[in-house]
Amino acid sequence: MAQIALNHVTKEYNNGRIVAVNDLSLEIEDGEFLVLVGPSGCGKSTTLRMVAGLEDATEGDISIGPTRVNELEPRERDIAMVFQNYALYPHMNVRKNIGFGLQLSTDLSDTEIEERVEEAAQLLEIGELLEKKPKALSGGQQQRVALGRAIVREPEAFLFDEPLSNLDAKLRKQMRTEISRIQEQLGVTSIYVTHDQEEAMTMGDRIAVMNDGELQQIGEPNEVYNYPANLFVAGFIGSPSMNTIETEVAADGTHLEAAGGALTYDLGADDHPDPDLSPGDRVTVGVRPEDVSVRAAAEAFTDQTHRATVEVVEPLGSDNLLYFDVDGASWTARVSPAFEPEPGDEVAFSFPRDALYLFDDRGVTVESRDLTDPAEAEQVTAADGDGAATR
Amino acid sequence: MSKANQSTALPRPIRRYGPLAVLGVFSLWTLVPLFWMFLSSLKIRKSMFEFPPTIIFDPTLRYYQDMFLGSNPVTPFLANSVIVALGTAVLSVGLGTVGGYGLSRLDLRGKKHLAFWIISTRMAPIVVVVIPLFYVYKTAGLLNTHVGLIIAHTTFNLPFAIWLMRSFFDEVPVSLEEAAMIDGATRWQAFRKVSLPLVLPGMGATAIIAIVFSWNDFIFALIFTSNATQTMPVAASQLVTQTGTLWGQVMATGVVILLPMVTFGVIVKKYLVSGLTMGAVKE
Repeated sequence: MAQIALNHVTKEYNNGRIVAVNDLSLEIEDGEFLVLVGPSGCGKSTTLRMVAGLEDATEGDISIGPTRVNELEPRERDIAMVFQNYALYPHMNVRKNIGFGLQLSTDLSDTEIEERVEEAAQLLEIGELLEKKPKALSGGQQQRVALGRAIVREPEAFLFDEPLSNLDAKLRKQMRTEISRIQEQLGVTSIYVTHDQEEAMTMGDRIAVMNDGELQQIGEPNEVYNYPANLFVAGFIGSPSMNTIETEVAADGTHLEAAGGALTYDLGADDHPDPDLSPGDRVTVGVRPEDVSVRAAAEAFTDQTHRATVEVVEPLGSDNLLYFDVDGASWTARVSPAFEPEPGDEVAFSFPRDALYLFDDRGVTVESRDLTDPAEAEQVTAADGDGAATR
Repeated sequence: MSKANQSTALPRPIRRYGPLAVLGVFSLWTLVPLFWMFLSSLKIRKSMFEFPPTIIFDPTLRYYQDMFLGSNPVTPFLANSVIVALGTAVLSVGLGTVGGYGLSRLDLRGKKHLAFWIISTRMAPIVVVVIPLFYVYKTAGLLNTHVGLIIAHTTFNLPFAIWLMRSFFDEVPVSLEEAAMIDGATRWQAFRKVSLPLVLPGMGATAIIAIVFSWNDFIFALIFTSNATQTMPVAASQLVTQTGTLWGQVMATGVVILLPMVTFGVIVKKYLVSGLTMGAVKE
């Protein structure tokens, strides 16, 4: 087990015309489970492949443990990788698939290899599949074999490249827990690449959000969720996405006004300390869907009530998602399942001052949701809880 | 299916039996001459040219006896054919496999042009290159040798072999080799232990194509060989003499040339089909 460090790593293609990863520095602690998350093309897979040795870094240092590995072949890095398409060897049965690495990279005897394979198979509950060829296995079973192939080698680090994206939703959740369990049990340093923010939130000790080849933020899941570093992270982490609207600080310095006039917001409400804003500043307002309260009647139910027309209602069972238009921006509210307006219905919505996120004109976070006082946070929930409001 | 489609569709009987009719005509077209050749090889010369041809007759094996036990047996020519065909197959498959692998895996600028250049060498008709090659061979001392004919056949098989093997390697996901290399394999081990076993059907298909080409080649064999290295098609052609055509021997030789290929084809049919269609569907 080892620490993995990336130090100012850059990856360019076509003589610098394409920059896949730009000046990335990361440190993954010994035994830590780090999730690299971001939209497709953000450079997360390239990063993982550089750690694996399947791509060369154009600049920067990559080290596993105390060793700088830039010039080492994949086989010399003592890592194991699980691929998105599992990459099981089709002509070998499960036993050989799992044992292949041990045969090549160790001088263990056949009996010892056999024992290790059996052990891994037991851990993954695929003991009865050992004689089968990959073709005869279901997607979930193939995934387990791929995992088995990784863990049997007892490597310094696990690298996962979107290993669950080919599975159906139910299996994906199940394997998510399984991978977390095994990683915890073995305590092997792991880097896990995914585009699924939910996977990132649930699995990672820490998550690193990437976009356009650059690291946006790294932190514990809740930290990234509650205190996003910028507008991109705020929009990417959380499902449904954070609601945003561009506004301008009014002449009085405490009111925000959306360009179309559909929304004004008094920043001075609830005795909240004012952020450092001047009249005329362009500010993007963000609110998480669960912080938006919605009432059926278009009446004022708080000091700051806004009106909108419901466009779509999406029942999830436990909640309903309401989609409505705010000055050209599509907003979402997560409301109680008892509240079921029809599309086209006029509703009133509101959000507390504490729940507000503010981003400056470069997208950098000026202010995040205030969770400092749990009692206060609870009060907010309670206040919104009456009638058919948020959960 | 929409109504418009239904109205333009062919009537059901035609859709059903049409393909069978076409295949039937095709089968007759290809099989009747072979059948006729086979029957003729068993007939005495007189009844060979009867019209309508007789199906039931008293068969004779004298042409076959002549061929193998007569004063001028074909066995050496048969051996030549086998040596050249196998040599060509081994060389074509071997070089085609590494060439195809390189073309499939290498990240090379102008790879498309290189690939096209390789296949374009196959586009020239054989007769065009035979004369220049003759001089080359003469100088190099390759005339009348097995090696010379094997090289000539390989030259003509190789572009196709490379293209075929390349398409087979294209179907083997790169991630399999990557997985192997992470698992501890060198690039060579990844190639040999993972990719190569997966393209075995392709290698089989390539071998078959090379063997068939070599076995049936007439022009190269005619120009580049003399008595000692002659292959079966050239030997057969010499049964057409100035004083007449030895029809019975021609027919029997035809059967002997054909039979190994047909037998071989039947044995490897499954292999060949799986080889040529492998990866036709993306997984």
